[in-house]
Formats: sequence, structure tokens, C-alpha cells
Amino acid sequence: MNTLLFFLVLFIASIAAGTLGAILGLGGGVILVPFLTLAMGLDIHYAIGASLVSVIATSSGAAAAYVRSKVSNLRVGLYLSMATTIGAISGAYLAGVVSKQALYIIFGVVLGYSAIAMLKKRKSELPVGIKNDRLANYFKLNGSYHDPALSRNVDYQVTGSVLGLGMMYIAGAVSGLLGIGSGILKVPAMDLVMRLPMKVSSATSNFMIGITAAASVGVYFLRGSINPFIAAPVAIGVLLGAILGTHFLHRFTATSIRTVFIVVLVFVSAQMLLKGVGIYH
Amino acid sequence: MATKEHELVVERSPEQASSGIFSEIFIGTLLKYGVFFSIAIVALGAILYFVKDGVGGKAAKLVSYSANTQPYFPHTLSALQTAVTHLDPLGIVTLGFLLLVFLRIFQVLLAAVNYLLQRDYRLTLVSVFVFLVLMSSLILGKAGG
Repeated sequence: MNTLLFFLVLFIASIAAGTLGAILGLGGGVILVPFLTLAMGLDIHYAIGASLVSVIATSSGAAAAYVRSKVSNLRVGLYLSMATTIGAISGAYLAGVVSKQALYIIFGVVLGYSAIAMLKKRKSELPVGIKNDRLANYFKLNGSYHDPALSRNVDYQVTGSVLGLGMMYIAGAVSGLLGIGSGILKVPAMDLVMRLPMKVSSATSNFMIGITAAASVGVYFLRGSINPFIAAPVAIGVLLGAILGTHFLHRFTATSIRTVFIVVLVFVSAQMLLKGVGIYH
Repeated sequence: MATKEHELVVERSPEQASSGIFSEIFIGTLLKYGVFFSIAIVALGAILYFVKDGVGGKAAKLVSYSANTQPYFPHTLSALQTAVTHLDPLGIVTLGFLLLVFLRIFQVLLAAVNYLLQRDYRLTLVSVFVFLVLMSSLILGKAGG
């Protein structure tokens, strides 16, 4: 394959990954890493490096639109970033110690659990009767946003602030270890534990994943894992895709986003487990 | 179950959320233009690459990985500086990536200033903490490399 064709193939595939990522509140890394390694036959090191950069681009592009539309909760985002950034640095440094096989298995199990948990809650459109806990009150984490699908303002409060912070540390560590945004872990933590509305969880995750990825990208850069020839088409494509995805998001109700998200969770979970036991490379 | 803390909830008005020089709207705008600027530099580097080296080269040579050999592209800050001053296309691409990273770090710093101006000291501390962690990650990375 010549350089230009290679560049264009990566570029077009990245647009698709970015669109899906923005709709689901993911950085697109969980879609990109399998694509780059399996379909394009690239080394996992480069796939992770390109994914990390694209995660920052997606998050920046999508976050800008969400912040302006006030769906994203910046206070929650910053509060939880305390845990994700420390987690990301831990993860980037632990990457050389922990066996990836074991990590794939743990990741697969966590994702499988998230899929089941979200499946159970599928009927609820918005959380009801949630009251701020002590930390949520202290940092005033509650908020409100306008939901065009419901055509009204939604006020919400936040619970599970401590457990949410703990889960975010793990999400950050997974991000640092695998080079993904780990929005796939952040969204359930906010949705299921902190009981934020689905759209707020998704948008706040998008705001946070770039900050999380920024905490570990330096380590990958110095390791020589960020190949500009791969990362350039991926980052540009993912950003364009993220803009498309952001514009699509408001047309879906929370239930339809959740359905797509569950399908992705199951798919990635199975992939990770198979990789962990060495059946699937 | 309503407890004492739950009755102390103070609702934030939308005006309060968006006030201050470095408001949430401002951060959103900064992110938007900053990311386009960074990605434009990445795209510029990529275009420059094809202009300089043509389109017929074998992609496999550029994207094959070896743990034992040094990469052909800049992966230290000093190598990046050299590459950019020599207008090396892939150096320019990498510069765009680093700008993206610094944009996110700067964004957190702006959030800290914004909350300070609003006299919201709790969120100021949260933002400063995140900023310091991000900065330390670059220093730790440097030491590790």
C-alpha cells in the first residue's frame, strides 16, 4: 500500500470511529485500537499512541460543543479528574509491570459487568429522587441542562461521590495502561453510581477523557509510541467524526444511546476476554 | 432519606455558572479554536510530508515497529525542537500533538483562575490539584525517558 492510500484509509476509518465515539461518550479508542491492530495490522504500541492522541482531539472537539450547550458538568468533570489523572499516570507506569493478558481479562470482566448493569436499567430515562451527598454538596456538583429531546430543563443532583472517585481512579489507570479514553468505564461510573442523567454522563465523560489522556501521553511520546504518520490521519479523522457525532447526539433519546452503548460494551468485552486467554490476537 | 446535608443544597443559577472572565463558555470556545489550530498544524505537517516525499512511498516502511531500533520520528522534546526548526514535516505533526496536550493543561489552569475569581475556593483547589498532576506527569515522563 502506498503512503497516500494508507493515509486515506486510516483517515476515513477514523472519521467513522470519531462519530461513533462522540455519540457514545467514548474517545473512540476502543474502536480504533482493534481496527488499527486487526484490520490494518499495525503494532499495538503505535495503535495505542495514535489512539491516545485521537482521544484528546475527540474530547476537545466534542467537549467544546457540550460545554457551550451546558450538558457537560465541568464541576463534576474537574472533581473526578483528580482521580483519573493520578490513575492515568499510575497506569502508564504500571504498563511495564502488569501483564497485558491479565489486564485484558480484568477489562473484559468489568465491561461485561457494566453491560449487564446497564441492561437492567434500560427503562429509566432520567434518574428520579436523587439527593446530593455530603461531597456533592461541598463542591456543589448538582446542575441542570436543557434537553431538546424532552423539550424541557432537567435539574439533577449527585450521589455516590466517593465511590465514583474510586471508580475514576481505576478508569484513569486503564486509560494509562491501554491508551484508551476509558469513557467506557467513566460513563457507567457517573450513570450508575453517581446517578447523573445519561446525557450529562456522556458529555462530562467527553470533557474528562482528554484531560485523562493528557496525563499519560507524555510517557507514550517519550517511549516513541506516537508515530506521526499513523497518528496524523487518525487524529484529524477522529476530530471530524466527533463534530459529526456531536451534532447527531441531540437527536437521540437517552434510551437509544444506551442501547447502542450496551452493544458496544458486549462486543468489546468479548474481544478483551478472548485476547486475555490468547484465543484472539 | 433526607438528612441534614441534603437540605443545605444551594442551587446554582445558570448566570453563576457562566460568570467570570474565564467562564465555562470561554473555556468551550478556547477548546474549540485551540483544537482546530492544533489539528491544522497536524494537517499542515501531513500535507508538507506528501509535497516533500511524494505519494508513491511504501507505507509499511513508515509504520513497522521495532522495540530495538530508535524510531525515525522525533520522540524527545530536544529532537522535536530540532525537527521543527528544520521544518521536518513529521516534526510539525508532532508539534501539533503536543499543542493539543498543552491546550488541555492550560484549560484546567483557566478553570482554576475562573473559580478563584468567583471566590469558589473549593473548586479552585480541585482545579489547581488537577493542573499540578498534569504538569508533574510531563516532568515524571521526562525523568522516565
